[in-house]
Amino acid sequence: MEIIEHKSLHANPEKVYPFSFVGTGGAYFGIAIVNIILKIFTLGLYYPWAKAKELQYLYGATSFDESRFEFHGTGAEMFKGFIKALIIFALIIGGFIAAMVMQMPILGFIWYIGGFMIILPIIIHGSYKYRMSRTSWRGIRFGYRGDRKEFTILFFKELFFTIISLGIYGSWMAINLRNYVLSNIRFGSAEFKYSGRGGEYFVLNLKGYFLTLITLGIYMFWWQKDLFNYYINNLTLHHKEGKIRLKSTASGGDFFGLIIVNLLIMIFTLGIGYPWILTRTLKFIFSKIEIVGNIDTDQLVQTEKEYTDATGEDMSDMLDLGFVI
Amino acid sequence: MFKPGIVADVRYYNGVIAKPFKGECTFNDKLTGLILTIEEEGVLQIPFSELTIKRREKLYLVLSINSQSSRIVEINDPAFIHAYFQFNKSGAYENWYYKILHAGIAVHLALAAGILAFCAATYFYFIPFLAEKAVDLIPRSVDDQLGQTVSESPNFNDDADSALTVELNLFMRTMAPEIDARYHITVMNDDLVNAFALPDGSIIINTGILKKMNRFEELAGVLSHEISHVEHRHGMRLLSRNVSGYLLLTLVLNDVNGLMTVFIDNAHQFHTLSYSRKFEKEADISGLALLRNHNINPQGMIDLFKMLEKEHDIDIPEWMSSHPVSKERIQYLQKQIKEHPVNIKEHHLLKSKFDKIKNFVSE
Repeated sequence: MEIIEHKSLHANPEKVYPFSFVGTGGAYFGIAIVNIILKIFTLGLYYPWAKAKELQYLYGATSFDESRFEFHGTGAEMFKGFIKALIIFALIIGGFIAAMVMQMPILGFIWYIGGFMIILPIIIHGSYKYRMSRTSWRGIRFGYRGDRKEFTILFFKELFFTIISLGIYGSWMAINLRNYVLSNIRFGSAEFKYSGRGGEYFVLNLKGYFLTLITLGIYMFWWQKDLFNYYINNLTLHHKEGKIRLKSTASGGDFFGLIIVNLLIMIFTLGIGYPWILTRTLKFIFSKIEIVGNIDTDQLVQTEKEYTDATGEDMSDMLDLGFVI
Repeated sequence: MFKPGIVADVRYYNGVIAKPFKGECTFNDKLTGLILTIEEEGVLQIPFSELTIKRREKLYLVLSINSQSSRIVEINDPAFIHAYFQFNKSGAYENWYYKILHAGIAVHLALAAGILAFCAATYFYFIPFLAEKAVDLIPRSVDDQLGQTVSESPNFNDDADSALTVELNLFMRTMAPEIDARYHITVMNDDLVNAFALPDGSIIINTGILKKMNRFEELAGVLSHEISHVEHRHGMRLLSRNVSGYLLLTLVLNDVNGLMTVFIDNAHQFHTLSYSRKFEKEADISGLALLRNHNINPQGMIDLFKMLEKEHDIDIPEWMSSHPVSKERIQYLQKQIKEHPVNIKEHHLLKSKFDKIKNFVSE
């Protein structure tokens, strides 16, 4: 204890790290339009390259401590993942159809549901592993150090409890998986740590659910705020003795304004305004995250290996998982 | 444009540590690459072909060095950035792409409008055309299989009335002896006023609609309408049309967000309904031709729709309905009858068979 206090005396002074999104809807719209044209003329095969372009823009427009992030995944990598993902999906769906044709519906359903269940943790693992290794800042790569086998076992253990508790354990499952995944993310030599608690998350959701019912949906925005704050406020970054804390300053009213305006843009532009919705949402999110701590970011060191298999990334896209945890 | 000896301040990251190294950057004499002079790291000579443009804005350029992509150079000097793209011919693709990206909102909106027009043309003209061609290539046996999945499903015949089924089949064979063996009527004990055909030639008639009929010509009208649906393979056409339309939509919708998906999905439903109305009209008109060929009074078909109109007295706007509105239906039928007069003959046999059927139904 004394040693730690002694060390912290020598640590850097606390500072606020600037963090912002500088992209514009107009620029993103341009990228989306060119991508759509190319996708049409390639019958959709351009998709992985389109996605790379979009991610490159969004990451490059995100600035932390005066430097931009970079997504250096490539269309070619993601195309390979895309093909692998297609084959895996074809096997699952093909097996299901074959069982149906052979009049074995139960076997078919087991194959189908079981197949997706088994690949789900593999998809989550793979997509984090790829996405993190393709993210960098000042040339320093992020990385995901989770173990696939360990995560798969954790996933099924949590899923088992969720099923036998008729879903009540779902809040604990979400947080335990999130703790595992986020705490395994590296930012060069710095380590993320997420310390959420299932009980707190459960109470938050229970409160959110009932108040939303009682207020005929109005409380939804405040529930959304609570979920967002719970995500952000429990995340820390550690480097040597230094530590960075994330803190959300978003209020329910902020979320109310954001979502209502987004909805209006969506309706009145018939969806064409989507790039503006995306960029203003990112601007909002990043402006509501306060990053304070005493890590000297200049001292972050390259530690993470490159990882080029994008299968998980592509499969999570096909299942529309986004970043689930 | 070119200022000899143009120099920019740069920040260099060596891919080992996040610390920025300050330095200067200039073009080499042949204007084929950069010379970087970086504190602590020394001088680096890198040809353009060894550099990848990671990000390009007016005031911000990020380059990475190909041999080790985590080594990057950040430049904030607008004049230098401009010059870089004057000299760097290997960045032609980036230039082309950058130009489109920065062509301005008007160009982008025009492109968006072009895409929408292209998608609409594909959806309304090209896909239906392909779908029709596809149906011509699909053998009729596929229609039969499609219909049999329904007509041979385990509980399908539970409500069937076997005596009436026999009588109606006799009526149909007497009315049009030349039609294909695939046609088979099943009568269902169901008070709902309804009749429909499956692609394999199974025609389902509810006792409900039989109860409402007064003349054999009305029954002949229903049968000729349903037979025409099968003759024209409307089931298969609708399916082919629907599946191909959906394939295109999923391709497009993949890119579109939730709310738009709902809009487009509903529009697609309504468009499918318009297609189904087109088929109904086609079945009405070729049904009339069938009646005409057998010298049966086509007025029966009109009486039938008048009866149906009374039966469904809720007014649904046409665009929401799978069938044409009865008034319009009666109008075009009357026009058809006027244009193609029928040589009406007596049909004692059909009449007596119809009376027998009516007796069965009213019991």
